[in-house]
Amino acid sequence: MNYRALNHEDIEVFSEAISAFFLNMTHEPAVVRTAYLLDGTASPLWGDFNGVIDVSGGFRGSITFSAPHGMLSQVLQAIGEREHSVDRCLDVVGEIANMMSGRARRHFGEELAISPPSARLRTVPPAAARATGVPFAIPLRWHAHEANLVVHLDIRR
Amino acid sequence: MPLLHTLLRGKYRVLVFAVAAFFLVSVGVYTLNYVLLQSVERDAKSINEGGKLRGYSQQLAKAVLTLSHESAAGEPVQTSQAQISEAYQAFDLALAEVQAFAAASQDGPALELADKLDRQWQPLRDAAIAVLASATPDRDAIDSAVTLSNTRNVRLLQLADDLTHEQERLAGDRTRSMRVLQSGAIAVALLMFAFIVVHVARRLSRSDREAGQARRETTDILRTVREGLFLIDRNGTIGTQRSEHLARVFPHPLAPGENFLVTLAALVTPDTMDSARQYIGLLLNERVKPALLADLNPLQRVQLAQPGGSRPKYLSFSFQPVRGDVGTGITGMLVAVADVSQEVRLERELADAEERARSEVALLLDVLDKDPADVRRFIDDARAKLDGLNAALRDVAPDAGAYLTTVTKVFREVHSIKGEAAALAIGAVATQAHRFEDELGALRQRRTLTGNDLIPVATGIGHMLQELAKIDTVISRLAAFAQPAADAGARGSEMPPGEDGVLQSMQRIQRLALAVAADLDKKLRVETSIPHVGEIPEPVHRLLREGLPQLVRNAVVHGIEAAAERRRAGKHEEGRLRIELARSEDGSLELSVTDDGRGIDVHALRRRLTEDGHRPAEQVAAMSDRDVVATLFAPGVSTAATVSEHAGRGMGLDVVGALARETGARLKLASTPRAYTRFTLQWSPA
Repeated sequence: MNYRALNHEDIEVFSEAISAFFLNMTHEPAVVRTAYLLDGTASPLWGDFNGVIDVSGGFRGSITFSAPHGMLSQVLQAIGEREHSVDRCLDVVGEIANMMSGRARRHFGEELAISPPSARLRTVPPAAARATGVPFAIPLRWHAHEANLVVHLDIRR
Repeated sequence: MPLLHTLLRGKYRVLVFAVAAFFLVSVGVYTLNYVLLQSVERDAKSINEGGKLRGYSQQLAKAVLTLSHESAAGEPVQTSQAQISEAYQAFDLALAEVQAFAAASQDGPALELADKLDRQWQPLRDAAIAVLASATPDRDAIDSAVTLSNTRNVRLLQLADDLTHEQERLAGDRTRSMRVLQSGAIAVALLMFAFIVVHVARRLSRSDREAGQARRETTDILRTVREGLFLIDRNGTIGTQRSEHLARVFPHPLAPGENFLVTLAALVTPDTMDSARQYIGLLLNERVKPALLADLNPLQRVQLAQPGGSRPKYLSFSFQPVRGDVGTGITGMLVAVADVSQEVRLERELADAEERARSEVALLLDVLDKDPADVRRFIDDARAKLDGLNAALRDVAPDAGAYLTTVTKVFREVHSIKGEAAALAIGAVATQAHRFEDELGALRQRRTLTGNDLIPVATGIGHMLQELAKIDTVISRLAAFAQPAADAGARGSEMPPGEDGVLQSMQRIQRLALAVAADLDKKLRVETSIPHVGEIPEPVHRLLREGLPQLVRNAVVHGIEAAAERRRAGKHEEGRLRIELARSEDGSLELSVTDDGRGIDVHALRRRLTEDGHRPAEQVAAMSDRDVVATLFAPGVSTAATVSEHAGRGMGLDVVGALARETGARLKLASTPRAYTRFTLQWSPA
């Protein structure tokens, strides 16, 4: 099976989904700070809260949105939520994963099989990487906080 | 007429004959009824006339008796005579009618009775006429009439009764016959009607069964076939029937009545659509054979527009003209659609695999004639540079200025890697770097950069690393093969690069210069001069690897003119490039690259600085020639008209300048227009 290297469009679809989420929910977009390649296959950017989608069907790998607790608390505050519990924070990253899932399906087509988005705490270790390509990290800033999008994906030619 | 002909020859033939026969029988029954009614009417009239005979006979007898009494009493007899006259004439008429009926019926007894009646009647009639002969008939005539009346009246009454009975019998016989005949005809008509009903019912039932079977089979075919099938008319309007597979193949629902061509136009390029319309027009032309057009089908393998960047979908359309009944010509098309995406993908994968195999072989051949240590060093250096760039990306401050600085840094390093890869003749990396430079160049033209703009920078670095990994694999395989030999001569490989390494670098540079000249269709002679220079420090080696290719490329591209231009300038058409590495008496090392080309045209460079927007016109005008020439070492300044793999980025001298700074070299530039250009790098002794 031959997999091609990721193009910037393949990554932008996810960063744009996250920006759109922040814009819709808080009226302030999350801004991409930069993009770089992550060393190795470990997940050094696994944060307090992580929204994950796993993909298959001509694709292989996962896309993870990791955010610190402070950022998510402020997001909940911005959308008028009084309760800033762990469950509510997990809901936010789960919703972002869901949005990435929808955009990904539109971008990559029906052949992309996506697992139900999942929301995990830092204490739950990330699953072993399935993609063999180099993962890309895209730090995003919202207010003073920084979250990370990690796209670790192989796309069949 | 064609309709009748069709009916008489088709499956409705029996039915048509049966209906026609039923119609004829019905007409027969009606005719029979009519005849029967006529006969009954005639018989009734005949019977009626028989009855009248009795009345007239009685009337005559009564009138004769009355006349006799009146005559005897001497009373006037005219009234009685008138009654007698009326009675006998009426009897005559009635008798004539009865005789005519009897003659018409050809019935013997009736004829005989009519004849007897006539014979009985004639004497009485004569006697009555005699009484009427004078106004005062004589007594004898009266008595004779009375006597005949008395004697014959009863007989006449009896005969009239008998005749009436006979006529009634005849009428009854005829009526019964007619009824039997009528019943028979009605029975036949009913039978024929029943036949028609049964026949039609059976025919309809069979037709229903056949239609049902045909429908089921058609449905099965349309449900099972692995192609999208549907019909369009000559205008492209979609029919009502289609295969189930169509919904799986075609990305849009094709509703009956929609125009297929309109739907298709939204999915393919305008050029393809124009070709498709022309092709379908040809197929609808009766005079063109479809077999001749098969290869012209522009929709044989067509890529559909897909939303976003999703994987391309390829469909194959085939069209078969559909002909209606004889004489109606082509009425539409059967369209068959198949999804050939997988097939196309497999073909491409195969082609990619072949291309990869070819490029790996080419890579292998490229690497084979080089010192693996040089290639290994190049890979390590390039990786180190890319890792450094990646770290710069990771740590960049969120600021447009910092983004531009980072992009420029990436550009410079990638250009350097490209130059080194070209010097080593590793085309795959040079090409990838060139593509990456295209993207970086576009980014540098932006007014402001955002974090989003660094995503293509990161993916570009990823692509470069991927290319390096391929070469690494090849080198590793070669190293595995060469291990025994390497073990045997391990001493040499462990030595730091000395003059031999410089010599090899020079040979590579020479090849690079000749290759660039050949690409640009220029004639070139390369001279190298490397007297004994002793040990070469690593910074100088680095410049030889990374900077010298840039200087040489710069000289060949910008300095050396094309042969024709050189001839016009009175020069030898073969350009001369001289590379010297020498150590001076004070121990300093000097590298110079000299070409006998067109030199640096300061005026042209000034113009270029303004036209390309590097500097405002006023600022350029205020700059000294020295400052103008110094801009050649700034990123993005180039005198090349277009960007090619060899020039136009404006990064080569920027790389050299940066390397000179990093390696502690003094960089000098000397040039005379239309004569020569010389770059010199000088390292003081440590």
